[in-house]
Amino acid sequence: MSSQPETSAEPMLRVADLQVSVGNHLVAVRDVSFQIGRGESVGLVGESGSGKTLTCRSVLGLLPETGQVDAGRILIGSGDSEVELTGAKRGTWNQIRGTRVAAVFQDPASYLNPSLTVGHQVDEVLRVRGGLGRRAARERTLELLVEVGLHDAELVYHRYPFELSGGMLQRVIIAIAVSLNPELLIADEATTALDTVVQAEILELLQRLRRTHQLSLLLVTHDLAVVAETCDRILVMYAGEIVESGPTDQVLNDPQHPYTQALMGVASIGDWSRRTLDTIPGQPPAAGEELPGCRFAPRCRYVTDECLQGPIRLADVDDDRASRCIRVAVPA
Amino acid sequence: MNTLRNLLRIPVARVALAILFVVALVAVLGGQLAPFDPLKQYPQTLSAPSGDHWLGTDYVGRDVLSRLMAGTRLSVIGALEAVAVGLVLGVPTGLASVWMGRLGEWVSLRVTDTLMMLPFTVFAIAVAGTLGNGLHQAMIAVGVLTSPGFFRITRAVALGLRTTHYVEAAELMGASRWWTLRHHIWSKVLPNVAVAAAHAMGSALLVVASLAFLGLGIIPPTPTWGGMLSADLGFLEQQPWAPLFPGVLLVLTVGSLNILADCIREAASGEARRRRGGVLRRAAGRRDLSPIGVPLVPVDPEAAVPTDEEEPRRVVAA
Amino acid sequence: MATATLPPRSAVPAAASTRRGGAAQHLMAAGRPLGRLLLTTATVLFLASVITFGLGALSKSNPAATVLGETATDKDIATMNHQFGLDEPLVPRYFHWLTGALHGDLGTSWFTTVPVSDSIKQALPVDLSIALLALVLAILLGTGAGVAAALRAGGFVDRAVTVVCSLVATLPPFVIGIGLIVILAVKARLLPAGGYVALDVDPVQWLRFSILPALALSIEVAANIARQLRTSLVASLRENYAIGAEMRGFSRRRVLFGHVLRNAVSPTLAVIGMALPLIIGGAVMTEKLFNLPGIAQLALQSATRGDVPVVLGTLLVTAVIVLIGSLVVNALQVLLNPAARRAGTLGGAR
Repeated sequence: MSSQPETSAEPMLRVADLQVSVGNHLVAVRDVSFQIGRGESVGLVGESGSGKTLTCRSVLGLLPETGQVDAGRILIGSGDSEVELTGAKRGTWNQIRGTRVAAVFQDPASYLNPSLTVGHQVDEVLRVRGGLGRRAARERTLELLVEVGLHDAELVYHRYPFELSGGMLQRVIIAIAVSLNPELLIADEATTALDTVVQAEILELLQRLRRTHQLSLLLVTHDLAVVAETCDRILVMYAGEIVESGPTDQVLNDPQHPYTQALMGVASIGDWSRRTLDTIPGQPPAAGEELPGCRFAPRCRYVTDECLQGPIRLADVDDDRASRCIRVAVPA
Repeated sequence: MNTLRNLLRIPVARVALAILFVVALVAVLGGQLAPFDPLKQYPQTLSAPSGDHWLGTDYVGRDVLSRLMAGTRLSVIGALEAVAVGLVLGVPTGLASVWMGRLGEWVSLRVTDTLMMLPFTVFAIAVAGTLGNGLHQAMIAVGVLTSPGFFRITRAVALGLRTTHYVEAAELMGASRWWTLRHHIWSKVLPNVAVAAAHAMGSALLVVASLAFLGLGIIPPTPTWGGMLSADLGFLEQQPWAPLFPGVLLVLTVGSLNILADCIREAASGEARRRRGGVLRRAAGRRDLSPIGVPLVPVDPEAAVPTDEEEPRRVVAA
Repeated sequence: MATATLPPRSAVPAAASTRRGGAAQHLMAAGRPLGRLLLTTATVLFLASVITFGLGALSKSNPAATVLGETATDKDIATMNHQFGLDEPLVPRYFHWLTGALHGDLGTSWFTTVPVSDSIKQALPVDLSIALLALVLAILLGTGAGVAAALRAGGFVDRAVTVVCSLVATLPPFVIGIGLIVILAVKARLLPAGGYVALDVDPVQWLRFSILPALALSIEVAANIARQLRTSLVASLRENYAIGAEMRGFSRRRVLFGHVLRNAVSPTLAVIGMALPLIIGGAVMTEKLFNLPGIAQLALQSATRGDVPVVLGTLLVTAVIVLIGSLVVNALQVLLNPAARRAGTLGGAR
């Protein structure tokens, strides 16, 4: 069993031994386990192809037609309110989406209906899923719009998506996402398409909502600076696996996996400038490619023969931290 | 040509071509192949298919099979006439329109809009009523109404190519318009025009049949598919299956033409650029001319408010 | 944080300060393309009238020949030509005819001297009522089939619908009409094989006589609608905004009807726009088939006699009807698209 950091908060999302394959049985996500506590914000970081998006989609039940969950479990809530999401049917998803889990994606404009006003779309969620009457829904919508930072709420209410900027649209999406008071908000590259100042505003908004709504956050991104700023814990993914996990500041200041270390060498977090994660020499393995040992070995400067012997476990380094590198952590 | 080879590889295309070949053969040899004289009346009227008369006889005792075969010729010739007129009128003007000034373009577009909007059969009736009731007049009229389809297709392809680099490069090198036209545009235009021509041929056949059905253009007792259908209507009590023969023949031929058109497009698209918005456009009624030969009103989601720039992509998906 | 001091980047674009700001603005944005639409329609109308008149002018037929046949003397020809104003030079004759037409006067029949517009007014309701019925049937059948197919895409209903549509779409209305007559009228004797009763005379009988021709006319359009709608719906269901709606926990039905349908309507509307010319074209054949006293019968009759004014009148009227239909559909498309791409504005302070 891979080790899990102990959190004092009760876990509201648990993913255990998740394996997802795409296409012709190509394993794109393997041995992924993590938990998110109530009110906690976790960053899931990796380059494209690392499997972070597929992991996130599995939790949302949004895998593409070609993908499927091979193994593992996804559980939301705990105790009485626990719901199993692996293999859940449409009915279960319809119940928990919006009320317990919500999502914000990249390119907010495309996730809104172009021929309906944004006000209508927020109202709709409140009326259909929240059971509010028309007037009550409209009032609540206006409140939500103000809460997410759209102070001209009355005007914005009547606008169509094409009339608003990217930043404003993302705020609308966030408003919709939190309208039913979910426990978990998943943000998949939510700020990638926005310019720097707006990015910062949106992240700040997410933090604020976290405090006011007791929201857990799962931020999926390739941008380390976003995670550094917003997340309590970080999960670093590479080639379909989690290679390191732990509290954000500890992991970023003192990485315990060669991959993370390489990333830190590339990104200059200290002075708020951001780099993308694609300047480490070499290429990640192709999706589904099976390797004898460590999946980072071909690009690792600390590689030894032992690294190529067999699959590497995600092992504890510390109380809170884990790493999938045998040079650092010795499996218990 | 490559397209031809690709075409022959598609099994459905082979079937369609086979059917059309048979029809063409009958059209050419018609009278000779028929077992009986199509005009000769035999004593056994309204008889069912039998050893003597494979498809039975009609209401005055004429052999149905022979009439069907003889009628093929007229129908096919009429349709060919119409399509030929359409091609001759539509293709050169379509190409030319790309190089006319703004006003010329706009006017030619409006003219095609008008022609596309006039309902085929009513127009054919009007032509019969004003210019005389003959097959040729009617077919020329149909051809004129078919030409906008060819116009638009050629124009759209030419427009798209006018701005591509290799045409510009050719013109920069001092090539005359004519040379540019022939060498670059023709190879792109031809497959699209072939597709449209196949569809048009199918529509024209239907129109000929419709007109004959209405009694226009043909003087009885000359047999035509449409005329036979019309006559059969009067005797449905006795021979409810009778309309099947000309009907099935008509549907088979038209269907083969439409399928052939689709196959030509597929065969050609291996070389053509990737279509945009493929799925939606294809299901959106891939034909510029509907099966009964009624042209489309210029209602098109892409160009609903007629702009002066016809988008190239409309063509390749058409 | 630093952002508090920045000027508000998310300023809402200035617009009408009314509460219905969104709707009013997008109506105004639709103004320009609508104006262009009107101009084009007027031009096409003008050109259609020229073509129609041109046919008449080219005709060798004359009133004397029509009425008196071969016994017409030159004097007869000249007298009757003068009587019908045919000795006027072409251009003024055209304008007289055109202005008359705009006022509803399409001249007089050479044969019966009944005003053309009267004959048309009698015949037109037949076609219009059946065409309308056909359109309603087509929309009902088509949308029903299309939606049913899209709701469970890939399932049995979907495949059945696709196959049926492909088959049926290649059959022209008069073939279908013949089929219907044979099956329902001749064999089963359920419905009459021909004839007509006006709607205002006896609605029930009207329906009895109209349902078969209307059905025959509607099938092809219904098949087109079903195919187009199904494809648009299935494609739209894959779009991000449909996924967004799913993420809010909406049922598949709500996603389809509340969100996707609205956006899938536009290309389907184009298909419906094609319905009118299809129906009018098919109307000619069905009139003959079902023995209906409609405008095509009128045209055919006059054409055989060489009665030019009536023929021209019918052509013009049918063309105008098709044109109006196309105008309405185009205008609807412009209005339904709030992004008003056609106005040339890309919208928003993006």
